[in-house]
Amino acid sequence: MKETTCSDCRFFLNDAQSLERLYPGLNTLSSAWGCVRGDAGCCTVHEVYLFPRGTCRDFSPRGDKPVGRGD
Amino acid sequence: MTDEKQACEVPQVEKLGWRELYKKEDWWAIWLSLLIIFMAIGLYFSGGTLKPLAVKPAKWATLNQLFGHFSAQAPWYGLQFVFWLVVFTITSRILGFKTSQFLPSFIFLYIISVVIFSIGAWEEAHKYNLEPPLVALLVGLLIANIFRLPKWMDAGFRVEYYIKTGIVLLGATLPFTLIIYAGPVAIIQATVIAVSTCLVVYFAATKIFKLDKRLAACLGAGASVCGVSGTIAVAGAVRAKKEHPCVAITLVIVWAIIMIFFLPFISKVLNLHAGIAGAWIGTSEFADAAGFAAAQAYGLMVGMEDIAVRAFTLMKVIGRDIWIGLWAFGFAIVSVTKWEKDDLGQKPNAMEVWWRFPKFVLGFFLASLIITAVVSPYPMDEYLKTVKPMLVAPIKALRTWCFIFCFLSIGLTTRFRELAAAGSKPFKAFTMGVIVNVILGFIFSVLIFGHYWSTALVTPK
Repeated sequence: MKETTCSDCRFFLNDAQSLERLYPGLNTLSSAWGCVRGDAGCCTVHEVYLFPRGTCRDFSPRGDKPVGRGD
Repeated sequence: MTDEKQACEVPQVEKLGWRELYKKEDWWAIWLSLLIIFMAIGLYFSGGTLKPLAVKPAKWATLNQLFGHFSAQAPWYGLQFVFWLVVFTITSRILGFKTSQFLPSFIFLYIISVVIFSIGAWEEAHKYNLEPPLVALLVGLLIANIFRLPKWMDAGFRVEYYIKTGIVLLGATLPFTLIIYAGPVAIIQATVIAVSTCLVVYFAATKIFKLDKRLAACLGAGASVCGVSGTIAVAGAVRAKKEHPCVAITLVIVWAIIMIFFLPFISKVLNLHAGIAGAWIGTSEFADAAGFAAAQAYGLMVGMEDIAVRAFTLMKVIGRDIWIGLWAFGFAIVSVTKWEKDDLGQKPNAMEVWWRFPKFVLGFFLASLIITAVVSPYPMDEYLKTVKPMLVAPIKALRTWCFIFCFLSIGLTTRFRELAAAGSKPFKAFTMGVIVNVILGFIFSVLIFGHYWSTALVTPK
């Protein structure tokens, strides 16, 4: 079954380096590499910061990898 | 698809699973600390000690003494530098940092740390309030805000990685029995104050200043749970707007830095016991790194560093940090059941409590258990004569190095010009929480549990 959650959406940004660029000061008293942040990230369409387990009508699969294959 | 959407496309998404064990700094803080602890134990039982690797500036009165120390200990400083450089470079590389950026940055950090450590070891330093945590922070702030270091140097200024490693190593110097004994009191005090502060900020933000509920949640978590980490955990739970965490992060950093100086100095004015001040700082400072700077600074001011740091650790790490996941889960439930207005369907998952759990705390407990098990069979005189200086003291010295790296990194990464504008309403709501938090922290630490915090933390081992 194909995944349609944020984690497989091309508009979801959650790699640590990008998040620390996106949120100035995040690395000053915390870190995007910490377990507390986990895998949360930013939806660049809705401009919302969220956990990656939701879904929405704007979901668009990532083009460069098969959808639904996690680690 | 619009151009805007195309521009937003990103190349990679983290899906870690078990890879979290080597892709999150919490876990590396544990692995690295366990390496140090087992090296210390192994050397001790084979008749040696980790002491040479844990070299640090000795007390000095004249520059000749200082230079004499460095010339005599130069090989060990070299070995220590190589040790830190290798372990931090390799682990940072695995986390995803470029070695070409980490290396020069860490070398810079280490050199300044040696200078700051040396200043702190000056016999007159105490007279001028030149406690290393405060000096490190000030020096870092000045460098970052006057000289504009290149942004890539942040690769080596990993505040959280250093503080987490330091906290796990701290566990090795804290008897497990003390954690069991004092933990519940810390949890009660921290929970009452954190919940009160969060509610004050939330209701001030939403009822008085009419701010968005999600922003209010980010502000409340930042002021009460765990600073920036609390903000980030709760922001994901309530699906905050992209700019909400930025506002909360700015306010947490500004207030945390003010509190690093305010809490130790007001404690000094009030002549508080180190245990009481540590508990107060643990309740009222916002982030681990900032709180350790304040607690250690005050401990050094009054000559009871261990007591202040112990009280702070129990209050902050056990009383507040380990509950972050629960806060995130609670806010997720409120968000979905009360605030849900869009179609980003996402049901709260109880596993968030574990997923958001700051795993380095497990290392803190484990380190305490290991060392407690190792040292408990020794009689007190043998512990004080041999075990403490040969086994525990080197671990403590290496912990202190991690803390210095961390305090300096706080300053070096605090670029006020880059922080988002917070706005007056969020600032006022957050500040109301700060005031309530500091007052409640004082009432609980001094008036209610004062006797407890001034007596409970002195342990023979």
